[in-house]
Amino acid sequence: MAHAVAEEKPLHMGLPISNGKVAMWLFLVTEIMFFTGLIGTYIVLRNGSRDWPTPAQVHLEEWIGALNTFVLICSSFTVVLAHAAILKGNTGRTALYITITLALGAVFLVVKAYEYNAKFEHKVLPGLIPYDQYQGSPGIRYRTYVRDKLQEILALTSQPAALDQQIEALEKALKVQETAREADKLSDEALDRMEARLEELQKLKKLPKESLAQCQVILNGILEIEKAGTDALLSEQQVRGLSEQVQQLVHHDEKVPVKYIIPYGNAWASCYFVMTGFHALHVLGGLVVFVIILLIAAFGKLGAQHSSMIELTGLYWHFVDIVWIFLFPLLYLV
Amino acid sequence: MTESQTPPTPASPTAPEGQEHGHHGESHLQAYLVVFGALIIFTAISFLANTAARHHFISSFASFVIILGVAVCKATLVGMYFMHLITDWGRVFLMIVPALVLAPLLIIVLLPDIVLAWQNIMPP
Repeated sequence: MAHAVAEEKPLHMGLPISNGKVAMWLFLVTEIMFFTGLIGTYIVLRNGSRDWPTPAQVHLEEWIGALNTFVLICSSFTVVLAHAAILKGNTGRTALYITITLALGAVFLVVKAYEYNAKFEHKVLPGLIPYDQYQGSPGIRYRTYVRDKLQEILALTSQPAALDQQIEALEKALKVQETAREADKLSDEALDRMEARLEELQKLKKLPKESLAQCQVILNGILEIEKAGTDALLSEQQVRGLSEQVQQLVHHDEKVPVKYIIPYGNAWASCYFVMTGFHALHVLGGLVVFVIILLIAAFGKLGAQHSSMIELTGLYWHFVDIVWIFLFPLLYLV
Repeated sequence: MTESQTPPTPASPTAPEGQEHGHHGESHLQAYLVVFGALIIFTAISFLANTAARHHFISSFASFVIILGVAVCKATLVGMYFMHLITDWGRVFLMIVPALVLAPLLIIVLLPDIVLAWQNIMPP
């Protein structure tokens, strides 16, 4: 009788999987809801807005997004290979696959940093896009801005000597102001404005005749519209066309210091940085765990007992991959 | 790791999972390779669909459906094979299904007020 009791299978409460896996899945479920909040906000804002920026308007390259997708898919593959290797007790191969995954994750972040840099360079940042609507008074304000800016550009470039004098005077003033900033008497913002103005004037000096001719064509168009009367002045279509003309000119010659309208660009930039930023932080978190695994391997302690750790890290990493699988088409394609 | 397997004892909760991976290691590797290839092909398809829509070979709606369908297929493949849901689904579905139902609902409930009503009032 006692023997029969010993042979009985012990009762076990809970799921027939490890506690770690249950915990990881519970964590991933919270992550699903977290990213749904972000992605849902993007979808609702995008579909609830009258316009939305195209990838070209916000300096987003589709092939870069596709490259990062490829990198993450490769890294997901190497993680499952690492898990398969540790199950076979091959710690050397496990460390190799984890190293490759770490490198791929780092490549993803470097590409993302390159993309962010383009956004900072072109000031496609939340709250810093001054013209983000075609219709109504913002559209009218935009046309006035383009007219004034083009008139200024054409006036300055028609008198090279005067332009040189302005640049020289600004350079001298900047040196004085830099000393003032060192003594905390001038805000960084004021100095940044002066530097931006100097950069703009220096670019004007290098503007080719074709670009100036194009500036003149656009300016003539605005002046004609202004002569035509109120209906044309209030036309959203006209502002849209004007912005497209400016966009073509700026994409052809980046030295032309005129802004084009990025429709709902501030909302787009907020969504883009929050979604990709949190995703990048998750990638970074994964890389930290991979480094820990490699450190364990470096000390010669990596073994079959770590198979669960690698599997759970893999689960997390694949989830990060799945999030990117949805972010890529949402931000870059559709 | 089949559903009929004996539940692991508290002392060694992961032992059956490990054994299972050992038995079918080779077939798993083949499956991983196939899934990896499929993911690359799917990424290329979504990129091509976008390019085709940009050059007006297909409508933007068709491109949207293809790209979204491809994304769902890719996520399913990663979940099923790389995250082992093909074997673990029966054990974790109670955690995942509510989130998968609530996630789209979270977006859908906002659509009438923020998207649809607005479009009816001010058509673009």
